[in-house]
Amino acid sequence: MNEKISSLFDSEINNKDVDTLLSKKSKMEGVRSSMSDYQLISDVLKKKTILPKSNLTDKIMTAIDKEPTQMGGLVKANSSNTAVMSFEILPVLASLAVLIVIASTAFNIEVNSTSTNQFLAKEDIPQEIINAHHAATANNMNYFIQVGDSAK
Amino acid sequence: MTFFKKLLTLLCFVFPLLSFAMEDPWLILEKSAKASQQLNYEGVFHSQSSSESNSTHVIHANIDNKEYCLLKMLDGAPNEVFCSGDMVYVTSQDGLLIKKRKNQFLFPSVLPSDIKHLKKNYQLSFGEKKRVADRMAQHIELKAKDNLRFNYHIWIDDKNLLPLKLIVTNNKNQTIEQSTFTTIAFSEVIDKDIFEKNINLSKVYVSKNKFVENYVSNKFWNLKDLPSGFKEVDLISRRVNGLNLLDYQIIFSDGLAYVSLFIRPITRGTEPKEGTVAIGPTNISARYQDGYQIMSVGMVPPETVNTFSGAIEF
Repeated sequence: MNEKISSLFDSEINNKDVDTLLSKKSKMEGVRSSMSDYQLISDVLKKKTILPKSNLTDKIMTAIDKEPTQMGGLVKANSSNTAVMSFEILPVLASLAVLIVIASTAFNIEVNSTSTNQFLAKEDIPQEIINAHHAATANNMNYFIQVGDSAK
Repeated sequence: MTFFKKLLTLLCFVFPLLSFAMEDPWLILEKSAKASQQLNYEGVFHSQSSSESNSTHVIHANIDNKEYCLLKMLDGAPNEVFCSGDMVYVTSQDGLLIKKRKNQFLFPSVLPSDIKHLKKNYQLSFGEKKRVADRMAQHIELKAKDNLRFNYHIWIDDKNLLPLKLIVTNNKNQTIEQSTFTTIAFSEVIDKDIFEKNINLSKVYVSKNKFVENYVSNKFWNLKDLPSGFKEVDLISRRVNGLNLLDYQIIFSDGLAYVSLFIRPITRGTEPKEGTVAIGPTNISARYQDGYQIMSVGMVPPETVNTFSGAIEF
């Protein structure tokens, strides 16, 4: 039934099924509710103006309340106390991070101090940059010839 | 023979030796730079960096105080470079490209004519003599005085001072790049026809590098805390494809090492990049600032390119 309702709002249903669906809608409360939800989904996808439907919102909030809260895949609990715990653990984590930095400095352990390094990869460097550099500075003839291709 | 006569005779022998010993050792580099411009020679040299190696046939001549060179790749595509004075013609399977040579020092012409700058940044020492391309050559080491540049080892011909071999090493003494002659022959005269058969020198070629604008009227940036020993030697601007915007390439050198600092406007849909990577012997540092992607590129240690990319202020 839900598939047919979805098809109706996607304009992918034939005329005969439309008649059947509409007649059921007027009779069954469940079908009416589903149609309301699919109407909302369709409006969101088509970026139409949406009026708030307290009915759906309530359902979503109820469903969220029933879901367990997870902390980075390590902590799993059913109560809302988990969220409070996450704030309690933050100072501990921060202290641990500071200790690691101090320890690595003290023992001269090589750490990746420039956190930005992870963002730049070889593939990110435009070839024209390398070529433009070699075109103006290289003493290796091979570089010099290669730059000819991109400088055109 | 009187005492004074003996003393005079002794001085006649000793003085030339003394003057030779007292000569500034750096002068040998200046003479070597001149030799690479003035000598007529033909040979094959082999170049190797971390990822690539190739051999090149070279003919060089100085005719009527004008330098000509013809370099042909012996490996891979048979590309050629022909130099006539400041003009450089690159012929490849994609056609002919004409460029004006500014800071271009193709091996063996790797030394600058002005060595003053080198003295500030490198420590010169003489190593042992050894045979290179069947000729005796003197090893000269230019050791970086700081960690901002690599070390350069040059073997120069014992007789005519032409650089025959170049090795660039990092501070762990690992080879970054090297070029060395495998065969070389010198001659008094080289016929100009050898060069002219490749490029019609009487013909006026139009440079395809139309987008390069040499004049930059508005330097909207400031440079602070540049790595010591590097000075600006060139500024190139290019129009960004399809946009009414320019990007800029500022070139710095310490006499041997070169770094390009690029200032490029970020176009819509382009993600700014930050960090440092190495491609072969070349280090690249990227930083984003005020709508511009700043990148510094050079065969120098990572710290140096990082300092360059952080030196720009708007």
